[in-house]
Amino acid sequence: MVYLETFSVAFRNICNQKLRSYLTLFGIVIGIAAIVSLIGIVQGLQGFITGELQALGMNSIFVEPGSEMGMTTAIGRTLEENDLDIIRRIPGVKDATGLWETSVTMKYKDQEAEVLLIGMEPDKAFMLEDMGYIDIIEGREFKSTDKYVIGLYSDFAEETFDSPIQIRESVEINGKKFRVIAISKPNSFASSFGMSNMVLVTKGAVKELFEAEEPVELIATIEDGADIKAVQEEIDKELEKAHGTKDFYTMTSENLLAGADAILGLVGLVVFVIAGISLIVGGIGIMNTMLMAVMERTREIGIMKAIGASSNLVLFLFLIEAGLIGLVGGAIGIIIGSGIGALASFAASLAGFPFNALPSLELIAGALIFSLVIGMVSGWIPARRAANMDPVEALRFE
Amino acid sequence: MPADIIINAKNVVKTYDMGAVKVHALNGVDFELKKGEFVSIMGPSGSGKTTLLDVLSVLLRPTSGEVFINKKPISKMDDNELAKIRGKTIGFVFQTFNLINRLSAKENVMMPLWFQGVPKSDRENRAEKILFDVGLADRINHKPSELSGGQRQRVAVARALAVDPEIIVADEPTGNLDSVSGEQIMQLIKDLHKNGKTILMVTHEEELAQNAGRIVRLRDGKIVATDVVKKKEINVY
Repeated sequence: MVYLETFSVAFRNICNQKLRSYLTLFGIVIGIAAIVSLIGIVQGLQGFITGELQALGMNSIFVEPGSEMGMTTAIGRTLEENDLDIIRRIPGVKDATGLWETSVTMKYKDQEAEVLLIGMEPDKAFMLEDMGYIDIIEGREFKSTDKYVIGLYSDFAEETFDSPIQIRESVEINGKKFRVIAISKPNSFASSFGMSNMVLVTKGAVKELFEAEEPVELIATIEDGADIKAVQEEIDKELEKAHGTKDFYTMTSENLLAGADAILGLVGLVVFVIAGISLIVGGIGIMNTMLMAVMERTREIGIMKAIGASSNLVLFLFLIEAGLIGLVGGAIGIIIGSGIGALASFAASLAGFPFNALPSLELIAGALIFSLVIGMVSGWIPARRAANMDPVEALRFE
Repeated sequence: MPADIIINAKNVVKTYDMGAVKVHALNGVDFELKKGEFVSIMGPSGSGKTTLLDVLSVLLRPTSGEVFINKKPISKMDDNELAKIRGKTIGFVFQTFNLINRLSAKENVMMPLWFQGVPKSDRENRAEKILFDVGLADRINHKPSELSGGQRQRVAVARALAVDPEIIVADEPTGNLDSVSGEQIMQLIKDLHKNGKTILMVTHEEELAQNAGRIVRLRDGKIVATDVVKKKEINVY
């Protein structure tokens, strides 16, 4: 009962604090704002990437040229079409397909654009559809007999040239006319990695026009119930045997997710350090404010103790005051941090990859508790000083 | 020790360590305060009268010797227990009022009741009643800065009375007041005594000291004389 009321008394005391006390709040405000906005952004990105990778399919294994992730080069064509047969024979593999990729210049009505030509196997196009790579909204599917036909993503078709490319129109690549037979929904996964210039053709077209006989990327899907890790290891083993060297690497959505998490984790660590520094500064600010308050109110503390306030009550009162200052700073920080998060979400959605950077309720609650604790920890020394004050000396303090 | 002794000091010594020299503020004082008594402590500046008052009202621990409050030795109590005794048993009236300037008269009076765990509405009622009793019914929500010296000291007396303590301890209660206000405050204290409160008052004015039943005279940290005041004046009231 006695202690419960320290909250309202502490709150009143804070309201009586001078402006300079509030200035010392800035450390906490900045620290909490940084934590809330950046963790919100990191969590939003995490959710976004997880969602995209899951859309790609947790049952897919990607085979890429290069000895390990990040070592891919455009010229490194180390995969072979024959590899697909090897992969298809591996137990647990449901199907496999390859992508024949090359960079070319596309012409449309006197305008030119660099595009990434993705040549695929028409009879395996359903695999790409299953993974969300392709979702045809206009036109028809690719057929095995197709040659000089092209499929475009709707965002590419609309935005690349001055006038939008319509279905059944033609574009020119390497002197050959390609007819647009399909328009697909945008591939948000690819565009979020800056690859918004992909266009789809058949592997035959790429082979014939660019003498690119071998695929750049292989994709395997696994059978239901098969162990994706075991299949991945088997593909590694068999392809290494066939190539005689490990000039490729395999990855799953899970690997990609782990990679993204590692990067975001690093970002989080940097955030943590920066925010930690400003929170320490903020804590020292609160400590300073409270030391000043204890000194200014020495006589008041003396009076309180003389007329019956226990040392414990005085300690508690000043701890709560310090905690409330921290809490106020934290609350302002959360508001600012949420504003930054909202701005980031807005900017990201304009840039084409929508994610939610607003702080979660858990993050808000955590930040509030954290700022309260910072305040109380910072207030510990001043509060002890107040509690241990000798009432007689405190009463004589001028 | 007779049952009606509230405060009992035995061979109390209080020494202040001022670096090279040691100052003996109290140098072996024995003192008893009986229930219902009115005792004045007198002495010149530096005689140790305020120190004695602080020790007797358990604001200060003696360097040696023992103080018993209702027969309990304070050396066995921790600071929180001493605070409890001050809050419950003793009401303080200071020369400089020692009100909290941020708070209204009523809030100042309510404060010691808070420490005793009295519910808020009861505190408000009690504070209003006491302020009415000391003649400040129309000043309840005024801050100390809006009150005269005499009114401030009456708030302080009201605060001392809030918890209905056995003892009222007053350190030069009229020292900062003009003569009219001083007389009013002195009258208030005398009325409290008449209504059964035990009063312990420090003063350096002989005339004020004569209001007590007993005057303890201090010099150089020692009690040099104890006078019993003739009671004829009391019959006037």
